[in-house]
Amino acid sequence: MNDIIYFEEQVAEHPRSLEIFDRYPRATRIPCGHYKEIFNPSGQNFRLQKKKPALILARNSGKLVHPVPSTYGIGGKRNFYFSHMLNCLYDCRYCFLQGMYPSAHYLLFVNFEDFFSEIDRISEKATDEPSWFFSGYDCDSLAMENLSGFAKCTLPFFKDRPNSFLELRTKSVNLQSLMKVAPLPNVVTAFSFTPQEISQSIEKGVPSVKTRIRAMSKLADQGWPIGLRLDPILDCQDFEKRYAELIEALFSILTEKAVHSVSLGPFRLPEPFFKRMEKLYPEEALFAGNFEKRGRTISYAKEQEEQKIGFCRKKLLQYVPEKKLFQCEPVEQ
Amino acid sequence: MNFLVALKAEAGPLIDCYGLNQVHATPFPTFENQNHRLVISGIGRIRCAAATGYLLGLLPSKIEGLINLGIAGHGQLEKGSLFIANRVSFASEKKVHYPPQVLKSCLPSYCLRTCDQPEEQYSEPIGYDMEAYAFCSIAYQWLTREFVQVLKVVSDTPAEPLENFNAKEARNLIEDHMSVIDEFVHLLQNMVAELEPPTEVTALTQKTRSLHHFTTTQGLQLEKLLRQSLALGVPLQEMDALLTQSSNAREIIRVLDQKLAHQRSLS
Repeated sequence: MNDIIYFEEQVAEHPRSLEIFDRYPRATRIPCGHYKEIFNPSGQNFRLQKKKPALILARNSGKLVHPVPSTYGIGGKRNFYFSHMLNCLYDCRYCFLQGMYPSAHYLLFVNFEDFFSEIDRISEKATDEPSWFFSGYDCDSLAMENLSGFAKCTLPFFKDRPNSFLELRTKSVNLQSLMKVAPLPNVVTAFSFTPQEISQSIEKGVPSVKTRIRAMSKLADQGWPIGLRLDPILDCQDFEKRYAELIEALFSILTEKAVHSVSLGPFRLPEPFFKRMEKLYPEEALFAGNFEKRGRTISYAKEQEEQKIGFCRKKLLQYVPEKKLFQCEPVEQ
Repeated sequence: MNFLVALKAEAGPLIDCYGLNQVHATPFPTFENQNHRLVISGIGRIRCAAATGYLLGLLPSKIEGLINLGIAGHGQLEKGSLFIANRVSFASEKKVHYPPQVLKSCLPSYCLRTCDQPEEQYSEPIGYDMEAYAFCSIAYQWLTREFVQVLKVVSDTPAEPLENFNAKEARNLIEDHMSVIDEFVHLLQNMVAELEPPTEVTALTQKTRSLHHFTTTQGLQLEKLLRQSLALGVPLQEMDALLTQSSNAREIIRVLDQKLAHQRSLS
């Protein structure tokens, strides 16, 4: 991994860059003025780059923390997301990143401290109300922890700020950074799942459902709050059987008390993203699904979507109270 | 696979290796066989830009590989070394090109600076040539960036400067690396092939379109439905049977869509 490391000249001497250079001494280092010279040009092919993504080290000097759509929260009123990294170690065929970014290279922003300053600034605007910060929208929060050291650096920051909440969203079992420290009540590690057969066929590189459940269980046993994310819900043969088995497997090892929240999300993509992804992978059965356009979003046909979400919701309510169950809606209908 | 080279001497080993025949002498000497095409541009950015545009005009589709192969100076590597360009700059241009390095090749990669005059100082440990920047600037307008690559063999170095270089040596320098170059060509060709539509879909689309009138949109719909049938595990023979029973394009699309309607769930 990381045969090629592009780096912005301005971060060449950043301690995090130096650490990464040390870790990959044989990587070819290529300087650039700004990461956008490599990441943004049109005419790149995400699918081909995904075969051998390079690493880009950069400083994010733009907007660092963004508001989250109101339909995406897990109980909090003030919700934000931030991305220390763009793109993901895994290759999930439904992932919107394929439709959003022109490049599949891993883009790591090394200026974590600037994100923290901005998180503080936003939190201080409403000290009477908890603020939620979601870190796994544009990458997997933990999958590249060995390279980025993101969680190791971020946990102490949130430890001192009990009114600021962090969601680490992941499909990884790389949980050492969390396991090494005492659990924090304001840090939720959220694991996203699809049934094993689906995961195996369209979530390339992701550990098996069984392996992830085992890792999640260890984290829960240590006292870390756990989030469960069934998002996206995907139409598949034997849908009810597969999702029921998945939900049963999750709650066979998790107590209701260990679960901070469960969220359900229908498959949904902005139309331009869907079109790009379909063009990238025309042979992929997922994109031949029974979809319709609602507003500017592509989703499964409404009736089918409601039926599938309804089934999962009913099944989940056997294990968790309604107040812990959330549903992500497309931003526009 | 397509090649853009500056000199006849650089082209020689490729022409011999792939058994290419000259098909045009002007505006740029052009050589071909069934699977390869080579254009000789002459030296410098302007000739290279014009020849690249000319070569792109010859391509039957956008799913094609294109390599700029030639000799270059280098501030660090030894004479005779072969490398891939991973960063291509030109002194007075702010824009820099970064040919994506996605092939699992064992070749080393280095930065390359295109100059209007042969480089004599070799001030940095990078390559120096006279065409690659123009080549990338034009090729990226049309082709997927991953399909456009620059390969250079070091012809002159601080220890063996250009003044001692005999242009006829270019042939030997390239020839010495032909097996590695050919390996690289295969890797690139395999990557290109991955994006080509399945031949059975192309054949069935063409057959169907020859029997009925399809608008452009209907043609795309037909191809999409046939690709979806493969994705969903519906044999094309079953689709073919339906095609023969339908009398016009609209009917064909309706029937195919109906056939797939109940099979669109993930298995």
